[in-house]
Amino acid sequence: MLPYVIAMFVVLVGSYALLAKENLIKKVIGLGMVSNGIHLFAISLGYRVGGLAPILQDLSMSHLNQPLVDPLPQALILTSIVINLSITAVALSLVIQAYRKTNSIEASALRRLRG
Amino acid sequence: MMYSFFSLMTLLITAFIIPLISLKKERFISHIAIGASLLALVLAVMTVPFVMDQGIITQPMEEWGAPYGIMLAVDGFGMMLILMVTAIGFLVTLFSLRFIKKKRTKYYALLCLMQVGLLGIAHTGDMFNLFVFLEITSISSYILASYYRNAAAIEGALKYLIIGSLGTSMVLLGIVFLYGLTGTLNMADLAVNIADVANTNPVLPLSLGMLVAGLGVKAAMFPFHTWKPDVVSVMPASAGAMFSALSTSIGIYAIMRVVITVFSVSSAIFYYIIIALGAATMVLGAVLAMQQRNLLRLLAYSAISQVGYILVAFGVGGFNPLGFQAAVFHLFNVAMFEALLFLSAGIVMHKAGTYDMEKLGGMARFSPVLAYAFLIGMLANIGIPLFNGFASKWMIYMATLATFPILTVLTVVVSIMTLMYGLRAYSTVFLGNKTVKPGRILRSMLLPVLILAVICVLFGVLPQLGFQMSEFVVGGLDNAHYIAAVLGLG
Repeated sequence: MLPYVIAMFVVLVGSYALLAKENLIKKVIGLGMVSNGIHLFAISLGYRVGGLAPILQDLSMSHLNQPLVDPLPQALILTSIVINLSITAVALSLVIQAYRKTNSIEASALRRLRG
Repeated sequence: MMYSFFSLMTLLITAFIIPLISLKKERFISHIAIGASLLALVLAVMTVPFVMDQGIITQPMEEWGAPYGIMLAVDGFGMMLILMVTAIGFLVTLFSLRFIKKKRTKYYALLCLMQVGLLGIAHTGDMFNLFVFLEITSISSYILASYYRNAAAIEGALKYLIIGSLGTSMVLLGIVFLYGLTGTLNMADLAVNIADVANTNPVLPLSLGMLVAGLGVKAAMFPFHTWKPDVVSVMPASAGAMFSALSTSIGIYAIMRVVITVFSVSSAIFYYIIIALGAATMVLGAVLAMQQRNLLRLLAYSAISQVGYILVAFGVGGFNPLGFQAAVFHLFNVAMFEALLFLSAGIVMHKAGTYDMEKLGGMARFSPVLAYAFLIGMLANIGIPLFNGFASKWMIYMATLATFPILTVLTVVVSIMTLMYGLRAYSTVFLGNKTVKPGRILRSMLLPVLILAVICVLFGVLPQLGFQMSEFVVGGLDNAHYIAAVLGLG
C-alpha cells in the first residue's frame, strides 16, 4: 500500500511543478517527476514478497515454484523511460531556442499567441 | 495477409533513410518521400479486400500469439483509418514538394514518423503498443510544431509539449491500472477479463476515465483543447493539414476502441458525460472561431467544433446504434474537408505571405479554382446538401432526434454559427476589392486540393457510399467478433 501512495504523491508534486512554476527548467523537471512517479507505481505492481529475479536458469524450470518478481512491468517501464528521455531532450532543446529568442527562461516571456 | 503493415515498415525505414541520404545528396529527399508514401498507399489499398472478406485480419508479431505476444488486429474501423492516413499522407507529401523549401530533411523525416505513429495506432491490438505509437506521433508533432523557429512557434510547441505529455502520462497511468487489475495488456484479453470483473471494482471507472482523458488531450476534447489553435497556427500549413485532420481522428479512434472494444461500456452516466463534453466542445469551437483574425486559428477552432459533433454522436451511440455510424462517417468527412481547407490556406499563404485575414482579400482574382475548392470545403464544413458534411450531419440529426431532441436543436444552432464564421472566412479571404493579379498555382500544390474537393463532392452526391462504409465499420466493432478473431487464432 505504501509504495503506491508514495508514487502517486510524487506524481502530484511533479504535476504541481509542471503547472505552477514560472521557470521553464523547473517545468521540465516536473515533467520528469510525473513520469518517475508513474514508473515507480508500475514497478511496485510487479513486486512479490520474497521474490527472485525472473531469470530462467535451466530448461527444467524446476525453480518456478518459488515466487518470482513479475518481469512484464519492468519491460514496459524500460520502454517508457526511453520515451521520456526523448521527450526531455526535445523539451530542453525548445527551452534553449526560447532562451535564444527572448533572452529569458521565464514562461511569461513567451506570450505572443492569444485568443 | 496484412499488406498494410508493410506500409508502416516502409514509412519507418524511409524516416530513417532520409537523414542518411541527406548527407550525400539532398536533392533526392522529396522523391524518396513521395515514392515511400505512394508505396504505403498502394499497400494499404491492397489490404482492403482481405478485410472486407474476413471482417477482421490479425497478425501475431512473434510466434507466441495472443495473449502472450503482441497481436496486430485490423478490422473495418482500423482499415478506414489506415486508408485515411496513407491517402492524406500521400496528398500532403505531394503538396509539400513545392511548399517546403528549407530544412527538407527534418520536415520529411518527421512527416514520415508521424504517419508511422498514426498507422501504428490504427493497427495495434495491444494497449502498450498503443501508448508507444501515441508517443511517436506526439514527439514528431512537438518537433514539427517548432519548424519555423520564431518565438510564437516555440511557444506553441512548448505549450503543446506540456499539455500533451500530461495527457500521455494519464494514458500510461490508465494502462498501468488495467495491468494491475487484470494482468494482461492485450485488448481482446482485457475485454474478456473486464467482463468478468464487471462493476464491482472502483479502479475500473478510474482507469477508463484516465484513458479517455489522456486520449481526449490528443483528440482536443473540451477541457483539453487549448493547445490546438496555438500549435496549428504556427506549423507549416501542410503539416497542419496532416496533424489537424488525422491526429484528432486517431485520438477519437483510440477513444472508441478503448470504450467499445476493451471496456464495452454500457453505463448511461459515461455516455451522458461524453455528450456533455461534446456539446461544450461544439459550442466553444464555433463561438471562438467567430472572433479569429488568423485564418489557421479559425480553421483549428472549426476542427475543434467538428470534433464536438463526433463526440456528441458517439455519446448518443450509447443509446442508439445509429449514433456510432454517424460518428464514424462524420470522422471520415471531417478529415477530408479539414485537410482540404488547410491545404488551400497553405496555397493562400504561398502567394500572399500572410494568414492575417485583415490583410488578405481578393484571392478569387488570383485563382478562381482555388476559390471554388475553398468554398467546397467550407460548404462541406457547414453541412450544405450535395457535400459530404451534409450527409454525416443528417445522420447525426437523425440519431439525436431519436434519443434527445434538444441535442438536435443544439447541433442545428451550432451549424448556423458555423455558417457565420465559414462564410466570413471565405468572403474576407477570397472576395473583396484588393487588387490581386491572376496567376498560376503550381500543379503539385493544386492537385491534392482538387482531389480532396472531388472526394468531398463525391461523398455528398452519393451518400450511400458513406452509409455502407459506416455500417460495415460499426458492424465490426462488436466485441465478440473481435475477441474470437484475436484469441481464437492466437
